[in-house]
Amino acid sequence: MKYVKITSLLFLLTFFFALSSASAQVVGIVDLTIKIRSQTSSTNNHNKDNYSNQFAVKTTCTDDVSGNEMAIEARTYRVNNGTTSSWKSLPKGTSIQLTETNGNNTVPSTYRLNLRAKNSFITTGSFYGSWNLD
Amino acid sequence: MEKWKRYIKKNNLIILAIFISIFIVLISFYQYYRDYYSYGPYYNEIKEKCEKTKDELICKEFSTFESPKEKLKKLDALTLTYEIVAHHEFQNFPLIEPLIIIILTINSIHSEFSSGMIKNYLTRIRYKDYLKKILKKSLKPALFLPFLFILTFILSCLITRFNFNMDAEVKGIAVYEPFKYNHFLLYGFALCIIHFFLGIFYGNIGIIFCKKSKSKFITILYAYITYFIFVIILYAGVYALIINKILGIDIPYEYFNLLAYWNLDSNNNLIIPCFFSILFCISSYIILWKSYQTKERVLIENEREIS
Repeated sequence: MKYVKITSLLFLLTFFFALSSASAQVVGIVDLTIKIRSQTSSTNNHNKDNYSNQFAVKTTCTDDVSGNEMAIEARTYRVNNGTTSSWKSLPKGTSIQLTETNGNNTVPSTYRLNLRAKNSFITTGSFYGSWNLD
Repeated sequence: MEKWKRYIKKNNLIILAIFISIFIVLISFYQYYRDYYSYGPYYNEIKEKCEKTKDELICKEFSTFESPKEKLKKLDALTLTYEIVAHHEFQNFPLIEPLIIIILTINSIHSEFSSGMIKNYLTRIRYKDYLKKILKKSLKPALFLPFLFILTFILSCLITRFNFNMDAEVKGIAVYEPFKYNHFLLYGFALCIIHFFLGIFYGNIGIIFCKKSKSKFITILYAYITYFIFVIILYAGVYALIINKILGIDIPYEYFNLLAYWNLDSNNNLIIPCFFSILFCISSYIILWKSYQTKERVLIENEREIS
């Protein structure tokens, strides 16, 4: 009986901690086509659960013709009211904060990540990276 | 009134091109407002809700927004100018600019060829003088884009009330580069010079095709397609295939992308784009000279087209 009580208590504690743990949502972006002439490409909608900044990382983004690394800009787009953060440059391999601390687009809502080539090209690119919403 | 009607009929394409360009500039400002300031009604809505209900979640969301008026006070003229040029409808000008300049350049010359009046002109002036007149035709239209840059800058100054104090947050945004902000006059001047010479290049392409077709529309089409082919060959052919893949030489690709001459963003070396734009301009003058060099050939081609 003693062991059943201890096991039940441990189970309840584990259950409680599992509910209260914060989740960090990271969206992997694989082979997203960057449009020609610096037009905006977007990810699908994703839900943000916490009040926090959003970050993005460019693993690589290559020009589909020359194979050169493309300079990319990113911003967050809040779907329900259309507010956007400012365009920020994404250097390769560096996590960039897209939102201002305690500012615009840090609230829980539904978002898309907008991406565009920094320079206007007549060729498309392929973007690989990640987007941290929470 | 009749005079105005005739003027509009004669210059309808020019008037349309200028109208569309100014419209695009104004649309770009509107798009900037829509992207960053149109949350005003939403801001007022949650402000009211927060004040009435004192709901913690609503007030917390309200605290993340800055008042649009306060945000506008912090906006400086340079940031607004660079944002308009780089991130909105204005960025379509690298595709539209050659078309507009071709239209502006050939508007008067083409009628001399298509009507056959060139033969009559050449009885009264020397061919050499007529040729000089043709070679100068692309100079005024080439000022078109520098004019639009200056217009954008003036509008930005008026909207921001000539605020040149950069907010600290600007250092994190994509359009910020120390050179562009610390030497904006030099940067602006270089951009105007580069696009002036490129404008001459585009205008000369139009003039080369003036004697090829009786139809103004076909001439404009030929010239514009030629520009496009040149852009593709320069980037995909010369740079991507020959220089990058075959020769393996590491040169910044921006120098070979005419569409990237737009804002020189990642390329702070102004001398090389200036050099390339002057090179294109001189090359176009050489081809134009060769194309119009022989008077008899020009007249024979013209007779063939108008018959």
